[in-house]
Amino acid sequence: MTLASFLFLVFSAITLCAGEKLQVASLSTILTDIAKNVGGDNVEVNAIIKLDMDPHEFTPTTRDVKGISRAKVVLLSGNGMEDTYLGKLEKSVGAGPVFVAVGKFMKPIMVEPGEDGSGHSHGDVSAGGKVPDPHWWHSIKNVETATAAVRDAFVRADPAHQAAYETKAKAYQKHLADLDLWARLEIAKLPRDARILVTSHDAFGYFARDYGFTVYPIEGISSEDQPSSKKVRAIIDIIKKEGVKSAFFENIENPKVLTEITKETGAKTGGVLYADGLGQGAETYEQMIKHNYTAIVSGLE
Amino acid sequence: MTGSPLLRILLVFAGLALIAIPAWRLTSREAPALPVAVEKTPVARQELTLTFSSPILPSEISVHANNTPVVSLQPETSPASATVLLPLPPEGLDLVIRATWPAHAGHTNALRIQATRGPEPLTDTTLWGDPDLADVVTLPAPPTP
Repeated sequence: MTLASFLFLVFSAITLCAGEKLQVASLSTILTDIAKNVGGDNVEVNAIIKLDMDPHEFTPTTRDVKGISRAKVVLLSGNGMEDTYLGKLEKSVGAGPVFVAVGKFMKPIMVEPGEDGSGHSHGDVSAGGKVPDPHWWHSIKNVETATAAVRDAFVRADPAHQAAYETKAKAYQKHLADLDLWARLEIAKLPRDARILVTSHDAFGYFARDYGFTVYPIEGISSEDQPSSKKVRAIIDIIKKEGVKSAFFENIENPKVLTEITKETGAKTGGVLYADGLGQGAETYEQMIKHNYTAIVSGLE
Repeated sequence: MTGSPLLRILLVFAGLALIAIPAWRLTSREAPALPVAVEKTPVARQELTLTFSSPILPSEISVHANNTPVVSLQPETSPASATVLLPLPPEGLDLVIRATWPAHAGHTNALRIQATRGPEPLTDTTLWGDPDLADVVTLPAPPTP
């Protein structure tokens, strides 16, 4: 081999390594969006949980495990969302990937087990028997924190591109701050004493905290969990008493309950909200927020 | 076991009923308590004073509450004040504040908003415009005596 050929091979190897993208796997559609915004062209994001998938019901397949094992960074919601399979998953993929549970970087709302909208307990149980509400993405401020956590994870895994990750994270956080202002102005159209949200499952605790809402979840409008007739009656009474104009659902799998509630109360269905992640029609975090908030305000005005 | 088949069936059902009650209690999940609906009473309007201060005089300041215009000022001095009648429910009241500045004012402008009910302070906050501003200030309901 000539010196020129040898140098060419060495140069190619260096170029190939420099051009290789950081491999990231994401178990949350929100984190997939954040990772793409922070990582840009320097990362390749494998969205294990895809649009319109329910993260509460997700179990990784063999193919998913293979995809996760190839990643250097694995992004999780945390706060118990992945508890049903995380232990097995970490053992299966080995020591290669670094798992980053983004939820641990923010202060959670603590709820009674079963109130977190999943039908089963999540996360570390506090001394009072409460568990963290895993739906942190419904606070824009939390998503700003998540952006910083994703940035830091990328910098640790790929320090060569630190400057790029920091620049993109800063730009995305500025974008989120603008979105937060839009949200405050939008929600301000609703008088504070009209901020009552009747939803299918209790995923909007952080939203309620940030904007002064009271949430009445109808558990069980899904094939998984059926609300008791006592619960349905309580919801009907609240809608009538508070003059709630609309109730909001993620998906209507139990039309009987919906029919009963709207028939008895005269309330309308205010539209479908994206509660557990992104979906068709709301494929970015910004689209999800704008869709949800616009629907809530116009449904309750 | 010998004896009447009917008696045997009745005994089986009695046994199942005895098991059913503790089994139901073990397996039924108590629904978490719903937030209690607050009894609503009409909210009286109260006289509030809104005071606006800025190092550079804004060209215009407007305030909306519940989608209704409340104040529109072209201030000639700083601070500038306006007295308004607004309802203050227990949940509080959001004021949407908008302000514009003349072109020479620069890229970042500050507006301090103070709201009082008589001598009682309700809020004292500063908003930032880049250069103009639109933002929300929440007035809490004063504590009931």
